[in-house]
Amino acid sequence: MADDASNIPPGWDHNPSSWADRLPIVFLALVGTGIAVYLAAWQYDLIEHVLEPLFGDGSRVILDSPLSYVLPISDAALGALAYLVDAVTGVIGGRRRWARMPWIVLVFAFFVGPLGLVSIGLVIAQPVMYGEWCTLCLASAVVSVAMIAPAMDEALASLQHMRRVKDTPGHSVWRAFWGLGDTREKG
Amino acid sequence: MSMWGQVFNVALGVWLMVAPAALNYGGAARTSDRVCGPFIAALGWIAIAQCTRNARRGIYPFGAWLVAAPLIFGYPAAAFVNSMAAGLLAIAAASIEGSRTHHFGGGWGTLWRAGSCGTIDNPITLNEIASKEAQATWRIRRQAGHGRASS
Repeated sequence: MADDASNIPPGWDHNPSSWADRLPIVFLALVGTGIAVYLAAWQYDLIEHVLEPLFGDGSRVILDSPLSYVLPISDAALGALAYLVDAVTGVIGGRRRWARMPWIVLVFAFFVGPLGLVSIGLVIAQPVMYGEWCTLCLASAVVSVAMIAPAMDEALASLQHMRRVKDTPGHSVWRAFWGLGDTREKG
Repeated sequence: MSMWGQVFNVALGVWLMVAPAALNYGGAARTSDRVCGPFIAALGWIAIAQCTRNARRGIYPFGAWLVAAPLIFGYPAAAFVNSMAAGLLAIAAASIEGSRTHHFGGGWGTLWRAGSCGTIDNPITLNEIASKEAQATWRIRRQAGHGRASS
């Protein structure tokens, strides 16, 4: 980790793009993918039973509710795809990606942030619209919310980098966003 | 445990999700608590992290709603007391900023203040950020009347 010191953003005391910061989020995203794939498998009749230790018929009522099928693919299948995007955009890039690839950091933050908000919406919909709870749906929401804060600090470093580029004559924010050109700061 | 106010709100949010069943009430009170609970728990959780500590402010409108709703709708007694108490406690806990041990280049506010991150050739340093933050903390303590005692 000796080379990490030079990758710390200006004015920071740690590197939000370090693997120690990113791998836990990727792990959570994979756990989320696993839960969502399992729930989607039940929705598409690939498995016969769904785990529901706490709320009796809850999971079946929630997973079969009209809200789950508003879109062409079910909500759990969509969730699985979104978690997979989180995991993939979490691993792409090196320890300095906050400056070298702001676009991937911001795509990552976009998928983690709004996905988390959708999860909160689904948690609210369960009891309010259908009067039931679904254990694994709640677990999935907890995973989504847990990923938000750690993803946001990296987004902040990328946005501050673009702020610096904007305040530097002769540099293009658009090019910096895609990681083009020499945008490496002095120590 | 500088983030205990936020941890408290996570527990409070979960309690609001459970309360309608635990205290056996329905109607508007139940719906209100089942909507506010997940938001307060989620915002509290996000605000535990130092970088996103200010997400705690998002709890204020939900707290205000929990205090106001029993006065607008006819709540059963248990729900009335629970909603009022939860709203006041949520606001009080969310108002506790807590100390921060890490530096984030000046935080989110820098994004809309030109020049606040320095430039590519002359970026702001950790020392500059640390002294700015120390000054800001000192000013707040002065205004609160703690200046002389602590300096």
